[in-house]
Amino acid sequence: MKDTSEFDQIIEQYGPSIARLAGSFEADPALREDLIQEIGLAIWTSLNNYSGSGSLKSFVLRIAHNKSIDHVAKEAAKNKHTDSLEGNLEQKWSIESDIQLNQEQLLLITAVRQMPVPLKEAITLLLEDMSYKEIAVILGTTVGNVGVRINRAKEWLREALS
Amino acid sequence: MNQDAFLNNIKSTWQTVELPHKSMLKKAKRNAMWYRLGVAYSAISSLLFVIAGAWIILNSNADVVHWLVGLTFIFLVPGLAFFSTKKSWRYAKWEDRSALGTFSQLITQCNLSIRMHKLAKKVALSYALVPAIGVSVHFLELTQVPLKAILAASAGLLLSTIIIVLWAEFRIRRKNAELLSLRQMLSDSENV
Repeated sequence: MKDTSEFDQIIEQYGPSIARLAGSFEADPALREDLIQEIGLAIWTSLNNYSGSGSLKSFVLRIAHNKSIDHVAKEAAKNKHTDSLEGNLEQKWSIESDIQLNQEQLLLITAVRQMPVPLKEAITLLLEDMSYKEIAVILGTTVGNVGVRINRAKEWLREALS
Repeated sequence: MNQDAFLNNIKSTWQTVELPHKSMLKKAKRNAMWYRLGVAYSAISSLLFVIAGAWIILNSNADVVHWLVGLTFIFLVPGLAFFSTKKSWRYAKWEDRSALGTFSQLITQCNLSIRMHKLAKKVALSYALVPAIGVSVHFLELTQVPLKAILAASAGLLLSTIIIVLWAEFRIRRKNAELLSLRQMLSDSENV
């Protein structure tokens, strides 16, 4: 039986990180809601598999990342993802500026959304305070490759935000 | 501005971004409960159908219609019950997917799903043999059951077969499209 309080604690502690990660892969609020629910469901069903060997944050973000990639693959297959990324930027800004984001936050999240997936998956985890080693484990690649991706992502962001 | 200062700056901005999530994650927990109930319902109903099918066959006198109905209950109805609970199928096969990570592993899972659906299609197609056997038995005068009854039972069985085959075909096409995009992303990832 699952420990409900543990799940609630995860929502409380890592909910904002999960939402940001999902938000960087999906701009459309309705699709993002589905994605966040998928992530929540996956965390719930996988809690028993958590051995406690790594950090809980790494476990949660790994699930969130994998579900996001899964979502991107599905949307790409449906030819919808491209539309949602290249759609009317101002319209998306207005959706989220109505909620709570300021100009600086909107610029940043929009720049991250437009980034190529390999760079985005590395930088979003770094922005959530994951180490290069943890990112490499989550992405199934080497620390060196993570370093290269992050440097390119930083260059991308520098250009996009300038 | 040096690299670390730039990174620290965007990191502090990033971590203040608050997107709605609480109600969605709580809804996910509720859905998980429904999913478990759905799986339990599917398992119990499938078991009951198998028992009913066996009972019909054992209590008939080798009557073709009884055999058709019995076989339908034993194989087809539980199959439909299982396939129709989309989530149970999905999570039975994909529950551990969250523990996977790389594109290559996702591709392996995709291939597995395609193989499973191809198998489902073949099994469903084999159901089409049952009506043929029923009609043959009638014309060989091995049974007194009217042809109309055999044809009616056969039509139901064939309709179910068509539904399963079309459904499996649809899933195979979707998974193939997903596989293509995953392969594309894998090659993009390797090019970084």
